[in-house]
Amino acid sequence: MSEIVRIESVTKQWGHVVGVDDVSLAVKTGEFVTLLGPSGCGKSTLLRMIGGFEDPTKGSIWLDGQNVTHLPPNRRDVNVVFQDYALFPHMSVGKNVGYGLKFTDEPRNQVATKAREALDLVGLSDKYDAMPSQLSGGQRQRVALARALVRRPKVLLLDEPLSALDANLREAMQVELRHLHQKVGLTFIMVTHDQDEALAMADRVLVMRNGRVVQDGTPDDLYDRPASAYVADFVGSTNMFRSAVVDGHVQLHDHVLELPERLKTCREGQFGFRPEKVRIVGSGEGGANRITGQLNELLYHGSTARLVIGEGPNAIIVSHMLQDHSGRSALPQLGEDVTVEIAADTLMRFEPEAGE
Amino acid sequence: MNTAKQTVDDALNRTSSTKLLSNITWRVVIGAILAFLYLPIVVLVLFSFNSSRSLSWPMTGVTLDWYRKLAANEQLLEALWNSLYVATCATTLTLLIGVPAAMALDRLSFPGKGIFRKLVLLPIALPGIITGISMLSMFKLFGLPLSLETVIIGHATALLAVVVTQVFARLQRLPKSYEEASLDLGAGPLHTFLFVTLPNIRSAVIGAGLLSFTLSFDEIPVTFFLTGRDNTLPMYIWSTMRRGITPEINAVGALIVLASAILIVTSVLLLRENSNSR
Repeated sequence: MSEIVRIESVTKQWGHVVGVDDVSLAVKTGEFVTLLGPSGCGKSTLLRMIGGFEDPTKGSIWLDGQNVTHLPPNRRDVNVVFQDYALFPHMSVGKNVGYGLKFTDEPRNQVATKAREALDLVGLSDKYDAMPSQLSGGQRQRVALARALVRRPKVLLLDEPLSALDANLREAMQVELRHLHQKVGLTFIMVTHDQDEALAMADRVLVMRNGRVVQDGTPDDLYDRPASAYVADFVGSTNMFRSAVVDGHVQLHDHVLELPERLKTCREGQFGFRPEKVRIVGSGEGGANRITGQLNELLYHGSTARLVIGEGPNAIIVSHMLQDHSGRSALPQLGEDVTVEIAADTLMRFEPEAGE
Repeated sequence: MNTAKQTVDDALNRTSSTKLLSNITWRVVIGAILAFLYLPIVVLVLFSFNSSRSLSWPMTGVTLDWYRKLAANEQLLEALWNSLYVATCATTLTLLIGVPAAMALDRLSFPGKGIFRKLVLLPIALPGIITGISMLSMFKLFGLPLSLETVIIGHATALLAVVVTQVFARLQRLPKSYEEASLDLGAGPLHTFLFVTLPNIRSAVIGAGLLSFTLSFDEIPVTFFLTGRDNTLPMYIWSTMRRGITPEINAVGALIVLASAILIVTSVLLLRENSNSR
């Protein structure tokens, strides 16, 4: 696949405030890339620079081999789905979608037809004559998508596209956006602060922090091989602890855990494991890397529950199914002693980060 | 038992009569305020139909003579024409300067923006007499002869604040993303302004324009200092008043009230629609 977007050492500064700090990245044609990070990490600024709404302080941006660093938005072949959708309130849905076609080579008499086709693509062909104010949030979102897609841009930029929708609709739209991406075969770059959304939708996720990309990988990479404690904590949740390494073992509070072969020779540092990878075992069973503690809290999260085992700073969090396959409750009672196994190969070690 | 019931009844009566009393009081207060505001205008309009020249109650009869005389009074018609000319030009000029100024205030950030904003808004608080004198001195300094055009410039400076305030307030509530979306979809800045920004601030522009027109049409102090030989309508009325109040003046007044009312109601309606949308 060929490269469609190239960003070379791009920095954005306002006075002393650094929004984006020396970011480089390349996006291939047809990829679905997500920029993920908390608010203020620079992800939106980066997207706005690709769209042409912000001028980079340093570096260059290339679109399909053309240097577009300082081109205005109306002269770049990218389109944006804005967070607030930005549908023009004084124009009908059809006029909104057709708006962008007036500036292309599209013959005048084809504008309405193309606009209808684009609305058809998002399942809103019957809303051509409606005004944006008559639509629901999800419908506005689709119109915004149709309006951006109708121009067949080289890259579609999505700025927190689902953040204004309620939870159920958001999940449905995640699937729909994913399908749309496959159907139109365009390159999508999406910004989000929602890790579930990023993992669910993208081929590739770039985690950003303080204006820098701290990890660039597939959803699997981020989950199984987080590059830092920050990523591990931001993408999913992680039980963290610091420990020295003695004879290939670490100490988690009062318990000694064996490290996997790959980590046996490392020095002291920060370690972690995912709550989902901890297994509850019967108290009678013996074995390595087992911890017993009192179950102090149960928090329900949909079909799973979070179990807080142990107390205060010594507590660990374990994620477990509410019911087993036969539909019986699979959870221990509050106050019971619970034994869990933290298998050696689920342990992760993180390099200390700069500035920590 | 009986006395207790009576006490309750008394109490009920008292509360209802207090309620009635306070109701009446409020009506009187509201009536007084309205009378204070509008009685003079009612008098003016009534006496414009009075068949006698004297301003005394009761009216002697109803006539349209004064309106007929008015239509034949060339001086007055010329003054009316001058006023319309001044108000139209001043409003146009103000909108041409004020809308871009409001856009600049809203969209650009530049050093000294806060001061620029206050300076633009200051003339609204400046007494007309100060604007009049200062502009008179300036025109004299530059050797510009006084005319209706100098009046137009004078009015425009005073009205700029009105337009900038209204349009700026509307722009602040207009999401920046509309313009960004338009640019993103391939439109140039001019097309974006004409077809996206302007339609969304249209009611504020029209409303501010109508208000400016009314204010300019009625204006005396600035006009007094800056006009040459030509008279505007308020100036003409003022000059004839020195010979006493004639029913003819009442008739002009009644017509101005009618025109102003239409303009003000229109502008209020437009500005209200403007705040309701979105």
